[in-house]
Formats: sequence, C-alpha cells, structure tokens
Amino acid sequence: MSEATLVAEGVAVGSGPRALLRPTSLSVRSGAITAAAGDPGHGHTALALALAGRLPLTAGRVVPGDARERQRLVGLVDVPGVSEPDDVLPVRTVIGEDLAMARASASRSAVRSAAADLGVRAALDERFDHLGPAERSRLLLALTARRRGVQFLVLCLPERYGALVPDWLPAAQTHAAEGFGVLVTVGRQTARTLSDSHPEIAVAAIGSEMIA
Amino acid sequence: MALSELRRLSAGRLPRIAILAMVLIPTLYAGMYLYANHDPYGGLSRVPAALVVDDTGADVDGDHLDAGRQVADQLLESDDFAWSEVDADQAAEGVRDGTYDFALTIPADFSTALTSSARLEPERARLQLTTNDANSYLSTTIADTVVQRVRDAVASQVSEEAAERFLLSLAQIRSDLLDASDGAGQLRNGAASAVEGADQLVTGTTQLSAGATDLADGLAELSGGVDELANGLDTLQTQTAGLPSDTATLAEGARQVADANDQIAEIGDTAAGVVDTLADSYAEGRTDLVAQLQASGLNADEQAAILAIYDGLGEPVESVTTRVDETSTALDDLASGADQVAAGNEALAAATPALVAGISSAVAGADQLNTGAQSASDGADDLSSGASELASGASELDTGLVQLSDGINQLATGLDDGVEQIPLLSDDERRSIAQTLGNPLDIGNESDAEAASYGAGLAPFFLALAAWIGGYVLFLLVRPLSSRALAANQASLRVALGGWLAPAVLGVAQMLIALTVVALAVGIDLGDMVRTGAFMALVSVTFIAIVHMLNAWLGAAGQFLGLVLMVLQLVTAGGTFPWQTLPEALHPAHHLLPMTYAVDGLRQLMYGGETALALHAVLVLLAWLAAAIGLSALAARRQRVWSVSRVRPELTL
Repeated sequence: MSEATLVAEGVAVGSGPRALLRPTSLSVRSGAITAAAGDPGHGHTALALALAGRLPLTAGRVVPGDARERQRLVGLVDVPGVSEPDDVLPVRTVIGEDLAMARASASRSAVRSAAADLGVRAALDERFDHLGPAERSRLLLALTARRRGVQFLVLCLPERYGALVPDWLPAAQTHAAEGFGVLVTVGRQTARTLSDSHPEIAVAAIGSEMIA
Repeated sequence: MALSELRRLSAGRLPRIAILAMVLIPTLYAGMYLYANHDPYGGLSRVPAALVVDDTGADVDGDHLDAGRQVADQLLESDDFAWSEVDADQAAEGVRDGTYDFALTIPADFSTALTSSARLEPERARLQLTTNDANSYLSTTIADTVVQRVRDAVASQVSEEAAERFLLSLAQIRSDLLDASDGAGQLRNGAASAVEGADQLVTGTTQLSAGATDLADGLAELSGGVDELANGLDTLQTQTAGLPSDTATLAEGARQVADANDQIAEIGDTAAGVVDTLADSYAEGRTDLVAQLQASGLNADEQAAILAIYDGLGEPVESVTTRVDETSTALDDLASGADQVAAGNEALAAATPALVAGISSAVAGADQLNTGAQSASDGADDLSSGASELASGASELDTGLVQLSDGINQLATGLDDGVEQIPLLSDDERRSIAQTLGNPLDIGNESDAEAASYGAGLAPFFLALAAWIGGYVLFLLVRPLSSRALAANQASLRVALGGWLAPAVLGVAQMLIALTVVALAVGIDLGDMVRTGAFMALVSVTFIAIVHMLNAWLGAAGQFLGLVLMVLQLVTAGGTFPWQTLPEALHPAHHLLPMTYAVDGLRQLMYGGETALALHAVLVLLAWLAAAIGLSALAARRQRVWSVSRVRPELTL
C-alpha cells in the first residue's frame, strides 16, 4: 500500500446554526490511526461522507481533491444511516453481502471461512445486533478493508453500540499496520480517554481546527 | 444484495407477516372484486323493483284480453328483479325513499290500446318506468334495458298475433275462392256440354229442315203420282166394262170343249180297257202256256223257243197296249185339262163382275188418295218452313251458348288465377310467418374471442390493477436502493437490479397466488395458465421496476407519484369502457402507459385472442422494464453522492 495522506482543510457542509458539519480540519496518514471527536449527531456521518467524496462541500477542501478517487479510496465502515448493516440481518447475510461487494465469492463456504478468520463463526446465524461490539467493529473493518482500492478506513462512532476503545483499537491497529489509514470518530469523552492512553493517536475535533 | 434485502424484510415474525400480507394484497384486491362482480347481472334478481298493474283489460272478437296481467305474470315469474306487485302510491313512495330501485307501471288502457288496431282505431300502448338516480344510477340503466326488452316482447307478441289473424282470414278467402273456382269449373263443363248440345241441335234441326223439305217435295211428287193413278184407274174402268159378258161367253165355249173332251176321254178309256184286257189275256195266256209247256213236257229250249215266239207276239201287243194306254191317259189329261180350263173360265167369268166393281171402288179410292196426298203435301210444306225456323233458332242458341261458355271460361280462369295468388299455407307455416312478421329482426352474434362472464370480462383490468397495487405496496417496506452498496462504490446497474430484484420476486409470488385464487376460487377461466402466468409475472416485474424507479429518484414523493400514476392508468387503460370513449386529451396517456398493454395482453391471452397482439404487449412492457431499470441505475449513479437532505431527511414516509 502506497503512502498517502487524506487531508481535510476546513471542510464544512451546510451553514448557519443548522449546519451539518462545521469547519473541520484533519489529516489521516496511511499506517496511522487518527481520531475525530465530536458530539453525537449528524456531524460524524457528514464528515465520513465528505472525506469519502460522497457529500458536496460547502466550504474547505479535501486532498486528494477528486471526489471519484476518494470514493474509491475511502472505505466507510459502519457509518450510521449509510453503511451500517441492518440490525435484523443474520451475520451470515452481512458477510455474504460484503464479500459480494468486494467481488469475492460469497458462497456458504467462503462466508464460513471468512467468519472463521474473523472469529465470528459461532455467531453466523445470529442477528447482527447480537454481535459483541468488539466482534462487530473487527468484522466490519475487515470486510470493508477487503474491497479493492480502499486505502483509508473511516469507522464512525463505534461507541454508539457500546464499543469502548479496547474493543475497536486492536482491529484498527491491525489494519493500520497493514498500511491502511484509519480514522475513528468518537465522542468527546472517549477522545480525552484516548489521548490520555494513546498519545500517538492524533485527535481532531469535529467542527473546529485540529487540536493536536 | 437482493437476498439481503429479502432477508432484511423477512427477519423477525412481524415483518414476515407483513410480507405475507403484502404478497396477498393483489389476491385480495382482484379476488374480492372479481368474486363480487362475477355476475352482477345474475344478481339483479335481488334488486327490489315495484310493479303496478292498473290494466282493465279489453274485449276483442268476443274474447276478453288481459294483456297487462299476462305481462305482469311473466315479469313476476321471470326473476329478472325482485318484483313486488304494489299499488301506485306505494310504488311512488318506494322509489322515492329507496325501498324500490325503480317502478314499472302498466296503465289502465294497456290492453285497450294493444287491441286498438283490431278495432281500426289505432293507439299505442304505454308502459311507464319510474326511476330515481339517487337510488342507483346503474339501476336506472338496467331498468331501462329490461323495460325495453318487455316492450319488444309485447310488441312482438301483438304483431305476431295480428299477423296470424290476417293470415287466417287470407286462408279463408283462399278456400272460398277455391270453392268458387270449383263451381266455375263445373259451370264451364256444363256450358261446354250445352254448346256441344246446341251444336248437335243445330245440326239436327238443319237436317230436320232439309228432311222436311225433302218430305214436302216427296209428298208433292206423291200427289202427282196419285193423280196419275186415278187417271189410270179411270181408263181401266172404262176398258174393262165389257169384260164380264166376254168372259161368260168364253166360259161357255170352254165348257163345251171340256164336255167333248170328256167324251173322247171316255172312249179312250174304253179302248184302254179293252187293250188292258187284251194285255191281261195275253199275260194269262202266257202263264197258261208256260204251264202247258211244262205240262207238255217239252224241254227248256223248246219251251223257251215257244215262249219266245209267244213273247214275240207280245211285243206289238205291248206296244199297242202302251200306246193305247198312253193315248188314253193323254186323252184323260186332255179332258181334265179342258175341264180345268172350262172351270177356270167359269170362275173367271164369275169373278169378273167383282173385278169390275173393285176397279170402280179403286177409282173412288184413288180420288180420295189424291185429295189426301195433296193435303199431306201442303202439311209437309208447313213442316218444312217450321223446321227451317227451328234450325235458325237453334243456330242463334248455339251462338249465344258459345258466348256464355267464353264468359264462364274467363270467370273460371280468373278465379283460378285468384286462387294461385294466395299461397297455400299449413298451420305451422302460418305460425312461423306470423312469428317472423312479429319479430323480423334477429341479431346474430359472432365472437372472435369471448369472455365467459362479466367478471371474466373485467378480470384483465383488475388483475393489472392488482399488479400495480401489489408493487406499490411493497415499496412501503422495501428500500429501493441499498445505501451500503452505494457507499461501497458498487456498479450502479448492479445496485439498481439488486434493489429491484427482491420486490420483483415478491411481485411474481403475488401474481401467481392471485392468478391461482382467481382461477380456482372465483372460477374465472384464464386461458392458457402458463402463458397467462408468465405474462402476469412480466407485468408485475415491469410495474415494480417503474415504482422502484420512482422511489429511487424521488423517494417518498416518488411513492406518491406511483399512486398518481395508478389513478391515471386506472382511467386511461381502457379496461372497462372502450378506450376510444376517453376524452381525446387522455388518448396519449392511453397509448403510453404500460397498464394499457398489460390489460390488452391479458385480454388476448385469457379470451384466446391473437397471440401476435399479446406479443406486442410483451414487447412494450419489456421496453418499459428496460427503461425503468435503466433510470434506476441512473439514480443509483447519482446517489453515490449524498446530499444534505438525504443525510437529514425532511420528509419520512
């Protein structure tokens, strides 16, 4: 995976008091994990979409500037209302769907082996929302990472289904080690915890300039 | 992707029930409607209708006709509607307040009017129909139709009876004419014989006339002849006057002769006697000789010679005897003869005076005859002239009879022609002609393809509508385009197809169940089930693609548009009234929108029409399908990039 950096400079969507995303600046380097902190609301989704070139910007810019290129480069993981799987679906179906989207075989055996790889084999026929938070993050990150051309992974607000930092961090680190640039959007509290425990992770603020 | 959408929809018990419900909606819609409307005309017998019979009847030809009652009875029996016979007030009130949908009144003068033509005072009979559109508009239309039928039936019946009566009279005339013709024929024969007879009479009287003339001529000749006779007899009388004395003299002389002859005869007789004695003596002598000879004892030859000599003497004796005898006889004859002559002459002399007297009376008689013949001749002349008058009279009779005969011939011919003109009809023929006159127009119905019932007739429309509704309803639950797929940069066509496939599968399931129910439970014949099923599947997936496209492009507004499109197609598809009855402004919609073709195709398939037309519908639907999916793919392409309102929706349906 080539070295690349996803940079957002003053990216804003909408304006006024009901703006979807206030001006935000951050950068995501391949091989590193970055966090973006903000209050729960549409800002997380908007940021993810903007970075992935899937939301027209009202202000600011993103590098690389070509939205189509970013659509390919940025994998949206579990973004609420966008790419999160339906709660009622069995795990098997979600895996199969993602495998198909990654243009890989989605046969029962392929699904089984993928599930085994990801440690969720036992839960194949359960409802997706019954997955534990750690498995969920891990699973979705991994499935999105399989897509061709994806270099950056954006994981949105994993804490909304109860995943704390120790739940999602290992998976994120694994993928970062593989060369992906990982952005995780978190709540403010989690950001403080994170910067305390993992100072190497850069934390940006959604809706304001980068903190550190 | 489609699978996950199906899975998403079917996960959990409530959603499963929801899906089942959605799959059944078209069945419910089409099935219920077709069940309820399977045969509405059959259900008419439950529609309440009032019947008022005011008819008083009429008398015609000595019969009493109660046509109103007859019509009423037929209607009550017929079960076309739920008839109730009530009085006029009840009927009027009932129609007003909806108890009865309509009322039929048979007025008081119904029979009178019907029979009015027989009385040569023609007047139309009337039936009165009272309706109230507030009750039901279609009831009015149907009532109109029924009353029309009643009218036609009564009219046809009346015409038929009148025609039959006319034909009967005509048959009577014909038979009377036939009798007249027979009579005329007999008359003609009689006249012909009369003419023949007259001819013969003419011939006969002509002959009679000729004969009488001949008779007259003949009698004239006779008269002439008799005249001559009288003259002749006169002459005779004169000539014979001296006859008696002459004959007396003659008689005397003859007597004298006779006496003389007698004396001679006596002499002769004496001589004869002597001769005879001689002969006898000779004979005796011979015998004695013989005896002597024998006694003498001479031999035979000597006896014979002696005898011979004796016999030789005998010859002249014999001849003398004979001659004397002959002479004696002759003299006797002569004597008798002369005696006879004398007697005769005496008789003659005795008779001659009588003869003379007779001749005198003959003369007198001839004179009378003459007179008589003359008058006969005159009489014959009269006869002759009378006979010729008779002959000419007979001739005139003949001429007159010939004219009569000609005239009778004409009469007979005329009557025969008249009979020819009137056709001879059997009872059955008369009845059937009367029936045709009463009902001259028959409408033949040739059907290229036929729907089995009212319900079957509307089935294509309602099945197509059910397909649209079924598809529409699915998108209340189904998401048109998967955001996950969009966010994962999937190919737009793939996303579109994926979004369409799940509801399409459900749509096919909807159609198959609906068709099965309609075919089996409601009993509507669907033609070739396989082809119809395949076609309905196509219709369903096409409609779903269209609604899918609308949803993909416009979201909730698209769903609303789906509803609008349904209403528009409901109106313009031409499933009930022929589409040409639509206002012209709607015709383009008719030709463009897919439900038109769905209905057309179904019609062809269900009623066994032309497969080519069904194929046309298939092609149009396929075009719509392709277009819809293409447009959905386009939408998917656009929706790779979110918008603010998409992230934060303002309208949720």
